[in-house]
This record gives sequence, C-alpha cells and structure tokens, in this order.
Amino acid sequence: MTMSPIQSRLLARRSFLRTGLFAAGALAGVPVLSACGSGNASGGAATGRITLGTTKIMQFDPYLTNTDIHIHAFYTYLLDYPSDGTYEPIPAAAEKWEFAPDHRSVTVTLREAKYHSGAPVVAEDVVTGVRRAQDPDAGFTLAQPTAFIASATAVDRRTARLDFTGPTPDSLVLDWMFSFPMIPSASNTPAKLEREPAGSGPFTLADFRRDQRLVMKKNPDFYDAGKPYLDEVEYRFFTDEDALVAGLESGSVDGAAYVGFRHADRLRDRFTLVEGSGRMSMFFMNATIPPFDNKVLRQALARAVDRERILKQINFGIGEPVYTAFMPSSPAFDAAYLDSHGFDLDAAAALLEQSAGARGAVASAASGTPAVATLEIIQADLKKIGFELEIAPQEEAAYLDALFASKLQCTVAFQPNNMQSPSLIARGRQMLTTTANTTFLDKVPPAYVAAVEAAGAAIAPEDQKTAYAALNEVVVDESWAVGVTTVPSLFALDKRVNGLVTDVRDFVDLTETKA
Amino acid sequence: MSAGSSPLRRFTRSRSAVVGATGMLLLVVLAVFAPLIAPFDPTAQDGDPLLGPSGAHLLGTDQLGRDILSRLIHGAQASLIAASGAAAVGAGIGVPLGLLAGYLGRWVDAIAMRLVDLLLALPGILLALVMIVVLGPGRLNLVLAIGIGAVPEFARLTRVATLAVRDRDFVMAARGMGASTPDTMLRTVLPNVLGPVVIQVVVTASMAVVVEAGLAFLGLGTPPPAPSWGGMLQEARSYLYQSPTYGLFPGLCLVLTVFCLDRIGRGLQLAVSGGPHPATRPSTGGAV
Repeated sequence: MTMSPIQSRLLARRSFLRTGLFAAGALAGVPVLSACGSGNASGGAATGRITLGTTKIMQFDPYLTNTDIHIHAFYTYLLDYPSDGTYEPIPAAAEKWEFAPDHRSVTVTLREAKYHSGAPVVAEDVVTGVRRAQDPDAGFTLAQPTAFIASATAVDRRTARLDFTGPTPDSLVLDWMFSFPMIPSASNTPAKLEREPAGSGPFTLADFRRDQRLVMKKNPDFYDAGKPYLDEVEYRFFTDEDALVAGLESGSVDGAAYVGFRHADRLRDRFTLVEGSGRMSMFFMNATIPPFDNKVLRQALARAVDRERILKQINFGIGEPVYTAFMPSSPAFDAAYLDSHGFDLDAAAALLEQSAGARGAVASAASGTPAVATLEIIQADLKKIGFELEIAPQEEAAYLDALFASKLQCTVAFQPNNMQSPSLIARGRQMLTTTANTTFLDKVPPAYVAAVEAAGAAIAPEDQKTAYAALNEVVVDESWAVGVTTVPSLFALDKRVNGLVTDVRDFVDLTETKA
Repeated sequence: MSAGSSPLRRFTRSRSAVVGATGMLLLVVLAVFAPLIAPFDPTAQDGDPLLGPSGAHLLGTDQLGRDILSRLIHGAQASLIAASGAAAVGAGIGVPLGLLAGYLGRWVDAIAMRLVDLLLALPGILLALVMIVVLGPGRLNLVLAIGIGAVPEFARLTRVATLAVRDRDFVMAARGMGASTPDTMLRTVLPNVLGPVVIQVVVTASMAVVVEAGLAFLGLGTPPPAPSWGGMLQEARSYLYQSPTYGLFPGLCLVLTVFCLDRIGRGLQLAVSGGPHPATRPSTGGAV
C-alpha cells in the first residue's frame, strides 16, 4: 500500500504521538505502580521498610519522657526486660553486672559498643548520666528513680561502679538500669538532645521534620549483630487520631501508634492489634483544697469509682481494674483491695455521711479526652449519694498548667508503670512524689514517705512483702490517688508487620520488627 | 395603606419564612417544656450504651447509656439560650455604641469605630475560644463570648443607619423643638434604625447556634453532663462505627435550627424593607 506524503506525515505524527503517549504513560505508570507496590513493598521483606503513623509530638531526650514511641530506637539502655511483661534482665549496654554482697553497690561492665557518632561507649558516660539524673532541674523522669545512688565512679574504660545511699534491693537497681540510657557525656544535656538524639540504639536519625516526618535508618554498628531487621522506619505525623486511622485504612501507613480503644473493633479484623503495657488511669483528689482536705471524704469518693463500667464503656473492655498506682504485674498489687475497697455506693454514702464534709467539688480534665467521660460516670454515681461533682473541661495547656500548679480540686490523669519496684510509685507525675507534690504540697503524709522509703529499702522477700503491704495500706487509707483502670497503648499494624512490641515502660521496641 | 403592605402581611406571604417561624416556635416550645416532653432524664445513665433507635429509646442511647432524644430536647435549651443571649449581648452593647458613634460623630465616632475595628480584627470563633479559655466554661461565659464577638456588626449597622437619619427633617424638628441629645437619640433616632437591627438579631442568633455548637464540639461548651448539640456531635464522632445514627440527630437539629432562623431573617428583611413580595420579582435562585 502506497501512502501520500501527507498520509505518511500523519501516520508518522500518529506514531510519534502514540509512542510519546505510551512512553509518557509508562513514565507515569512506573511511580504509580511502584507507589502501589510500596504499600506492599513498604511492608515487605524486599525493602525492610515500614511507615508508622503517630499523633504524638516527638523529642529526643530520654530523660524527659516516661513513655514514647521512638526513644528506644535511638538509645541503648543498660539492660532490657523481655516484652512479655516479666522482669528477667537481658544484658544490653551492660554486658554484665555484679551486686556487692551488702547490696550497697553494683559494678557494671559495659559491652564494646559505639554511639551513632562513632565514639565508643565508655564508663565515664554512666558517671555523667548519673550526675544529670541526680540534678533535680535536669533529671526529670530519672530524678526520683536515681535517688538511691550516692555516687557513680568510672573504674576503668568499660567498668562503672554505683554506690548506693544504703542497702538497696536488686530489683530497684535493675529497674533503674533498665531505665538508664547510654548517652555520650558531651551530648548529655537537655539543650543538646532537644533536636537530635545521641545514642547507640538500633536506629540512627536520617531525617526529622517537626510535625511532618521522622525517618530512622538501621544502625550498622548496633551491638546485637544482625538486628534490627528493618532497614528503615518512617514515622509520619497526623494531626488527629481519626486522620491517623484513616491513613492506616487507606494504606498510606503500615501501622498506627497509640490509637484509641474506640477504633479497636473496627480494625481488629483487618489489622494486627498490639497492646502495649501502657499506663494507669487514676482519679486524683487534691488534699490541699477543701473538701478533699477531709480524708474520710476522699475515702468515700474512692468507693464510688465504678471500674467495671469504666472499663466496659470508656475502654471498650481493654485493660484491667486497679485500685491505686500499681499495675497488676507489680509485686505490690493486691487484688483483694479491688473487693475490700472496690465500688460500693452504700459504703461510699456511709463514709460521706461520716465525713461531714461539703457535698460538692469541681473536677477538671482536658476537653475532648476520655477522662471527661470517665468523670461523667463518677459524677453520675456520686449524684446518687448526694455529692455534686461539677465537671469543668479545659483546653489542654490550661489544664496542665493548673494541674501542676496544684490548682485543681480533682481530676483523672495517668500514672506510669512502676515495674517491679513499688517504691517507684513516687516517680513520674507530680501527684505521688514524696516531696512537695501537687496534691499535698509540703504536707505529704509522713506515713506515705516512710512507706515509700521502706519499700525502696526492703531486700529480703519477707521484708518486701511487709513493706509493700504497708505501702498499699497508706495509699488506700489516704485515698488521694485512686486507681481506675490500666490503659494499655494500642497499635494497629498491617498484617505483614510483626515483632513490634513495647517494653514494660511502654516504650516501642522495633529491634525485632519484621515486615 | 393597603393590607398587602403591612409588615406582618409581607412576612406571612413568604412561605419559607412562615415555615421557619413555625419550626422555631416548635423548638422554643420543646426547649421551654423539655422536662415535660423528654421521655427520660437527659443525664440518667440507665440504658445500655450505644443502642440504636428502638421502641424504648426512639433515637437510641449514647456512650453512657443516656437517651439521645431526651438529650436532644434538653440540648435545644443550650442552643436557644446561646442564640438569644448572644444576640441580646451583641445588640445590648453594639446598638448604643453605634448610636452614639453615628449621632455624636467626631471623636466619639473615631474611638467607637476603632474599638469595633479591633474586635473585627479577631475572628469570632477565635475570640470566643480565647474568652472561654480565660473565663472558664459555663453557659453565661459562653453567651458573653459569642455575644461580644457580635458587637461590631450591631455597632456598624446602627451607626450607618443613624448617619442616614440624623440629618433628616424629623430629627432636625425634634432638635428644633428643644429635645435634648439623649432624648433625640432614644426617642427619635433609635426607633427609626431598629428595622435592620432586628434582622441582625436573627442573623446573630443563627450564627450563635453554630458557634455554640463549634465550641461545644471543641469541648468548651456547656460543661457535662448538661446536653448540647455540639457536645453530642463531638461525642458521636468517636462512636461513628459503633453507632452511626448517633451523630445524625444532633447534626440535623443544628441544620434545622439554622434553617429556621435564616428563613425568619429573610422574612423579616422582606417585612422591614417594605418592597414587593419577592415572588413577584425575577428569581435569583434563592428560596424565599
């Protein structure tokens, strides 16, 4: 078939256009296909990369936080605990440790390891870290747990000795070692750790854009050869929880961290739900403000907390009831208190009558949080016994300011896990510390201070049992910190992702995560 | 004057205005007689949580087992109090301010309008949000927060209307007959500027319903357990999966209330303007 020049030109033009369109389509298709594939590949073994969504603000100072999603990825702690909630110590930054027979010191031998900067991990870093923890202004969450340490000494390059203020139970020292991150001396200040981590953990920082994304890459020099399994982890920030869950369902992330219990039913079939150890929800009453300066009235209100109903309606059945700030896994947890001091409106009414206190108070909570609904349940029960609890939700920043300034009459707030050392009840939130806390100011009950000290000094199992019982007795008697439920952290993961666990502090551990 | 030109007649000739007024009347009756009409105590946590609509609970129950219908009926009180209160606060401050500025002029006008400019510079919802955070939650503070945000509109509207009439013959006559300045302002000028102000009252009330719901949605509205539509919407948002109908009803109530107020405002506009019935004008696409 012959073609005219015009036809030929047209065909040539058509061919050119067709070829061009095909090429453009192919070019456009490659990223689209790879993007489609990245949903698989991002969670697949081929790339060893996952994307996790979170709504939490991030910072890089491990002294500042009791629980966080990313901290454990950057830092190595002296030892680890298994993720099953037990307390069998596993060597981590510390290769071995040896307690003195008199329980007055421990000698820690560090393993040969390197920080992300390439500098070696040395004993002097332990000494610097302890000094910072002992500084009330810089120690933050490690300040109270470090109180038993009198001094730290670098014996040699890899050996540090910690001398205690007195005989100290091994369990308390192990809990401290579990919470103590290795940080190079030169970087161990709040200012230096504000924007950049400086650890020796399984991942290094690759990119951080505040409120947008955080990318971590595998640390090739991590002490545990072959781990972590993932090459890269990206945390993507979402403004609110609903957007986060929508992101998970649409496949734009492989997992969602700290999702609300209300999403659990919806996500259970399509995603793997992982429950972390989490925290405890507590009803705090401020003993410095009437009517809660009346102990019997506090005891009355403590009996009006319907934990089972809160578990069912607020937690959607997730978690367990607690009577004060001890997790069920704590050696001080005594389930008998859930019966003897559990929900009983008749007992509450009788105590209220006996207290002869005022019949009303104002409870505060950050608006839009489950704490408001928890307070509504308590409010309805208290109304039945003639106590009017007014609820005043506040904007979160204003609420926290008032809480830490001891201006709130009562509230529902969280308390971290005390691990295997009940004396650590006094760490964390300022409502339970033994010195000038926000619920008693400088009038912290001496019996509580003594009980915490005794719990932190009891070494023999029998002594520990007695000390823990005494501590239980005083916190239940004073009734300013009434346990409600445990609040496990909840993660929803693509079914291809496995091995994401949290430790007993609720820190996410990605060392053995595979995808 | 023909019967067809009376304001009431002009209002009632707008079918949508009549529908709006009827709906609003129904809402007021519901709010006033809520304790008699609502089948349950709106704060009683007696039912099972998150039940769907049923014979026992016509619109179902919320997350704490409270009857949604009863909470909606009682929630109308919160919305109407916010609407009427905010309009009253806005008009109560804005109208005298505008009247003074428009009638006295000069430095009074300059100061009053700069104050108004200052308020206008802040978005209404942001102003209300800050005021609630500072004053604390509560019905009175809510009304104040929304009402103060509405002051600029009232002030500017009254000022413009006052400027238009202050040099008219009847005002000059009143002055010429020896009426004092306050007397002229209150007895002669004010009655003649009230037409647009009345319409603005309805517009502000409509806006206040939405702002109240917005603040309640942010958790800064009427404190719990008192029901409010915005608060119910906020709570329902958390249980869309478990109870899809929960959020539907407060949302519908808000839509209907704002619709009714909007229609009343439109009807008042026709009644006050004295123009021909809009049905006789070329259609502009909007319902009347």
